[in-house]
Amino acid sequence: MERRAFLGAMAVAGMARGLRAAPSERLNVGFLGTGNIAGSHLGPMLGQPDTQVVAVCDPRPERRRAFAANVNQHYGTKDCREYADFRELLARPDIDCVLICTPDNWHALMTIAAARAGKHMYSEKPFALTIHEGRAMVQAVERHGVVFQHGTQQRSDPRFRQACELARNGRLGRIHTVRVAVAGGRQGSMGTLGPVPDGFDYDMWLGPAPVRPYSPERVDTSHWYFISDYSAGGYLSGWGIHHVDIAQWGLGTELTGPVKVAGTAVMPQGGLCDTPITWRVEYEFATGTKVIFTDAGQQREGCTFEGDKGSVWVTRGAISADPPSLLREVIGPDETQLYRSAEHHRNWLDCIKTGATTVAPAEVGHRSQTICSLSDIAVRLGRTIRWDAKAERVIDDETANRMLTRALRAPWTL
Amino acid sequence: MKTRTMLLLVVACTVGLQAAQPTADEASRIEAAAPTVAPAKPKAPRRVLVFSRNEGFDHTAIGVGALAIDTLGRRTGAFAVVHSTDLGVLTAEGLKPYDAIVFNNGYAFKLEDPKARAALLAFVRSGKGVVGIHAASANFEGWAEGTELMGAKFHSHPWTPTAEWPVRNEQPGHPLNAAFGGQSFRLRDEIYTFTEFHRERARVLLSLDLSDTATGAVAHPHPYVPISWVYPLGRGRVFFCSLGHQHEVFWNAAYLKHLLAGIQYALGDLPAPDAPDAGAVARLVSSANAAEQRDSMETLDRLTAVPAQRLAAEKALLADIATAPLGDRLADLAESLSKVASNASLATLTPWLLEAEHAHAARRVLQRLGTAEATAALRAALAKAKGALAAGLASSLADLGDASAVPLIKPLLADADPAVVSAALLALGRLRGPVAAEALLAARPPAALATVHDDALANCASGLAAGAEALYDALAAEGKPARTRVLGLAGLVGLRSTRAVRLAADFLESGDEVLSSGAARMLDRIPGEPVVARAVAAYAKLPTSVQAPLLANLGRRRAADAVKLALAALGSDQPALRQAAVGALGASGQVAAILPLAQFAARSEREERLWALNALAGLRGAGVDAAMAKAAGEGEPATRAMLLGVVTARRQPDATALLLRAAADPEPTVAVEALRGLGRIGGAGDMAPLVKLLVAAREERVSGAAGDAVVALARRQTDRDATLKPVLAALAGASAEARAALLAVLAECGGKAAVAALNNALTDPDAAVRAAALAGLADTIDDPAAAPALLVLAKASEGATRVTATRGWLRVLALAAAADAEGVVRSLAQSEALLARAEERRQALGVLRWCRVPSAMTLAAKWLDQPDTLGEAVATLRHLAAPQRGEGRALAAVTGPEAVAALDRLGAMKDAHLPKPWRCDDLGDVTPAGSAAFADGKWTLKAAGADFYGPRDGGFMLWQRRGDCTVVAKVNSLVKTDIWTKAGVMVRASLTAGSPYVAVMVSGNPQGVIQSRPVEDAETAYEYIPATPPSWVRLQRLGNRFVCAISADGKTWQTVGDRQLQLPAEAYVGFALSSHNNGTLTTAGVEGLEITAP
Repeated sequence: MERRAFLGAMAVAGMARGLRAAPSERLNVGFLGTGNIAGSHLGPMLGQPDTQVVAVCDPRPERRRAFAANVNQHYGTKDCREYADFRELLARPDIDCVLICTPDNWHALMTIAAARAGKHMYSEKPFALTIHEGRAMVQAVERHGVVFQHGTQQRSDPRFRQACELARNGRLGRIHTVRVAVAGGRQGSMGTLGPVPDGFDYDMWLGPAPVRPYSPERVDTSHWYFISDYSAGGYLSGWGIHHVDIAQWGLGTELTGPVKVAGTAVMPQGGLCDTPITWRVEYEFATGTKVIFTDAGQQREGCTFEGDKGSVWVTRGAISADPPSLLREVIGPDETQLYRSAEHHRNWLDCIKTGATTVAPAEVGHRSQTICSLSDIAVRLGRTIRWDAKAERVIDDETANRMLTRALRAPWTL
Repeated sequence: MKTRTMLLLVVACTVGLQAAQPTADEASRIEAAAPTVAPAKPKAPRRVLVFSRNEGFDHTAIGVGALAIDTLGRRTGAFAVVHSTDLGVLTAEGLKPYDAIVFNNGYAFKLEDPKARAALLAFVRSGKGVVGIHAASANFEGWAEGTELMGAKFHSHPWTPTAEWPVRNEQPGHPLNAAFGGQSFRLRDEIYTFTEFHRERARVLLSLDLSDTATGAVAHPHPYVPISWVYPLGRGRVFFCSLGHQHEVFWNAAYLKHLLAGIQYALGDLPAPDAPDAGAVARLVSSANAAEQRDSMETLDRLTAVPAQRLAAEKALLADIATAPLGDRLADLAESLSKVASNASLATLTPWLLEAEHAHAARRVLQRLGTAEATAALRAALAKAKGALAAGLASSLADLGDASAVPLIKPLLADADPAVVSAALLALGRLRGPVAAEALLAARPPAALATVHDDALANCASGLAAGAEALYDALAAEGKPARTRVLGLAGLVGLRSTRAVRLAADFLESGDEVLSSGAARMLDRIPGEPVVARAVAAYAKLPTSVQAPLLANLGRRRAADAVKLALAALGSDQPALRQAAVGALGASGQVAAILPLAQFAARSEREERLWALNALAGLRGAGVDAAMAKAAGEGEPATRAMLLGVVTARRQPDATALLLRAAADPEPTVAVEALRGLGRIGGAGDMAPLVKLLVAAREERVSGAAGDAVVALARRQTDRDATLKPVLAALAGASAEARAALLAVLAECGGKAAVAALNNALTDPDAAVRAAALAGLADTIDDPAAAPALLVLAKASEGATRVTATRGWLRVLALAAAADAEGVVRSLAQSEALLARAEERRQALGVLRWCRVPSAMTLAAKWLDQPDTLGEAVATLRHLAAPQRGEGRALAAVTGPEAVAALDRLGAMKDAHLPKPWRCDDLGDVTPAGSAAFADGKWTLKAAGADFYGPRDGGFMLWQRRGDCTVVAKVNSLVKTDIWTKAGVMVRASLTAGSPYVAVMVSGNPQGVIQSRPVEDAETAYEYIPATPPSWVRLQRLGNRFVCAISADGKTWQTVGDRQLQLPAEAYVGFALSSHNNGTLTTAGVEGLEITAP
């Protein structure tokens, strides 16, 4: 803990913008997955003074080609190479770090493989598909001492830190309730069956997930975000993890979990998508604090901490408090100061260079994911799940414990 | 004969005059079809109350049903029947004589008396029975437990009695289904779909077979359609069957037997299983209807708490799996089975472990099953498996932690396929244990898999209780690749091995960047001074990429030499090293760090500067506070200013005193920063000195900062007026400049005293002071009390002052609206002279939006005449007429006669594009808005809305107000957004959602409907008519008589209905349209729409 507080003082590259570090001082970057979300990371990575994007991979040839072309055009070189198989990319000794931008069913295998290869990684959220594989990911990252940044970039947003510092430092009194609400899921379509497009390595795209017939909708974010083969609970994790993670931060429960989880959900009727459209989950900690986690149709989108002395609501781009004077509170240096990260990518790169822990490390990501996964299990089983956060097991529920894990499709193994 | 006639009379009297009576023909059919023997012998003479009360749509089958139940009881002797429609019988006393109550198809009655509710619930919970038929599922609106009594709530009937629908027998062996001979069957009837049906709580006997293509193709809102079910409630029992719209159901022999058995079950005479049946649900995991299939999987999940249910489900799923071909169903079946499987699944699934197409599915189940037997089956398969199959099995066994699998995995290490070797290595790594460790140490995999091997060794070691050191030593041994050696060191560090200390130091001195970097990054976890000493000694020769993490860790350990190294590193040209140095200094807690950090911050930019300041702010150690204060008092102004910011951030004990001194400093940079700090952390007692500083300030920067500080401080205090006393006191005798500054402060703070002072200053001899007062009131102060002064000033001024004062007046008026909306509107109405210009009137319309009172609407409607603000006036009226959210609060909609009049004015303007005198409006809660367009004699109408049905409508109407008349139209086309999209002519009492009306309409169905609602908010009656677009429809009103007709050509008319309805003499007459799916528009093409004399 002392370590993390200290890291508030970790600085950022002092290079003036526009001046690039010498090639020997640059970190070589690879992209695992070149779809929608990879696009949002490319800009920030190209804009750093001390990085060089040198390799990209994706099972879809037209996507990786276009992505690599973008990179090469930016640098004015032809050095960025494209790969169809991520193992070849990870085998390159000159690559220092990678961004994992694949569907969730691949996160565990990519993370463990990258750790094994000694590559530092920035992995998109949510963390993993099951709680079991999440723990294996944390162990691999620790074992190999690589720097891991979880894509919960709200941790590098000052408003969220301000809200959490108010909560952590007793400005709201005793926090009895936290309300978390995010965008809901969707019904989706039945999907149109058809042949796999030429060149698309669909088997690789599926990876460890079960074989299902190909349809263009399935492999598009409009649908796979909401399919349980690729996402634990759809937006329960896909969006939920952002604000669940903030709730963890504000409650100081980042390294533990709730004791009870229960809830209901409205599910799609047939079709490709099979994860909750709307839901209401309540989870409770040993202290008695309750978190009410729903879709944004039922509560205000964002994260609201409610204590007996006041409350604060925060989301991207907005924060408000009751009483409003709470926002003018100054947290003193002798109080709990939360990790200051000015920008999520920069924090990752700096920690690679100094060996420090990032603002969103693997264990914390795993614990936030666990809550999202337990929420999914709870709404499906329709009963209260009692959770032992230390042993990472459900108490007295055979089916729930079975749902903590899944068999990977051969030859993929953790 | 006689008995039957008498029975008919009895039934007629008690079922109520409204219900249609069964004909003699119907009675004889019932008699012929009814069984003579009951399935069970009654345990005692039974009395059944047949409750046929109906307040809704008149199901003509009610009387037929009553007679059928009578007949069943009489012919079999199973029970005696008493009929009633009186709500008064639903009391504890009233129900006492009965053993069961049948809710016979009547609906829409509520039970609002709490005593009656309690009596009914107590009746069934005490051990009696409840039976529900068809529409009985549509009662008890607003009473959740009443809905639970039937087990579901009627939603709609997508399947009409226009065809025979397939009824699926879900419980072929169940006593209540004996009549069906183990078969499913087809039946012509109206089939209901439900909400509030909890499939996991009831035992469903019959359901609609949605896997039948034609049946599933009818659009329906719920994925599963139960028809007949039972379930226990307390000590009692409930039987519900949703059949019973068509009369002929009641002389269907099988149905009658089903009903009889259901009644006997409810009575407690016929024992029958009524717990949910996970087996039956599991069978539908193979339904060909995708939505039903998915719903079945999800229902099964909710039944997994009970072991017996899991077994039943497993049995059914296994039976299904045995029927080939599985195709795409395999993945879903495997998922469902994996949650409920027991060892009983092994027989079927074990062979699959060796079949490429099914192996994954089998492993999904066995891995989750996880019993010793399942693990043994996996092992047995592994012994015979090759290639990818073997890899998968090894993976599953590793996930299960089966140490006894190690000897079977070992041989895979020599496999020709690298994927298999890799899987084997990783599996051994996860299995851990000494046997796995031995196997890994002995393994000689191909060079390409070296990293996999190393990882497996490290993973294995991390889980070993004893003997881990040996593995880590092996990894860390000389000759191994550098990264592997680091992996070994990491393990030894984790074990707190003493060897780790020496090894780490060796790595640091090795000259190898990977080794030294690895060791440097672990330095915070290696205890003891010796390693620190060697690290410090090795530091200078290390590359900067290693120095950075090393320095950071030395700093974390507060190593003695860390400060010295950090000071030197502050000047490095390597950003990472500078970072580490700042961090190390910040952690050191030493006074010696202060000045270097301050100088570093002063010469750095952006983030580097910020973090150095953070380091200073967090510096904790002996004498630091005093040294910080001293440093803030000397040196360059820029550095001093920076350090004053740090002092503020630190909130150290002497901070405010220090800041007050610095605020008087002749250097403006220093003074400004000090003032900023006081604003953040000053207390009430600092107000007076701050005001003195404000008054004394010469430079604008300083004066501004002082003003900001005063405002910030004042805002943090609870008693604002008391806090501002020094400010007010300073006004007297201050220079003009100072007065202006003080007034600006007062304007920012607000409050009674501030308003008074500003008001006074409007007449100050100095022009600059007057301007400051005006600006303060008009532009700054957020206090409604300023309004009167501004109004007076506005009225008394000219030119720019008048405009400024007017705008200021309007601005603060808006603030007053929450507390006194009427007053604000009056004030605006009385001061229209000030609002001659469009700009001010626009602002006033904005103010009106906050005044949620009728007079605001009247005023806004008045301004509809002003063309230069027409748009804003319209928007304001709409804003007022609907509920809104503004600044976090809910704003109510304005209602009442004034609002209606204002909206009417607006409406007349809005419908100006329609041929006169046509008007149009949406009815009820509709989105998006409907519209009408007329061109070349044809209308194109678009509308959304939930339906014209039930107690309240959602749709659109094109209307004129008329008395007796005939309205006729030809519906050329209608977009079928739903089978219940409706369009046709209508006469309606009012434009409310629940208004009475009569309508003749076509729909998205092959038939049209005549619909009517007799009184406000009552249920809608409907009757099918054979009309479909293109078709003419006509409605003639003569007093309270409405004649409905249809035609194919507009010349030859067929009368299809004749209704009596009380509507106001003058009503809304015209054409109505609803898409049935609110949110989606339908389009109707209409021509020949005309209203003529009757």
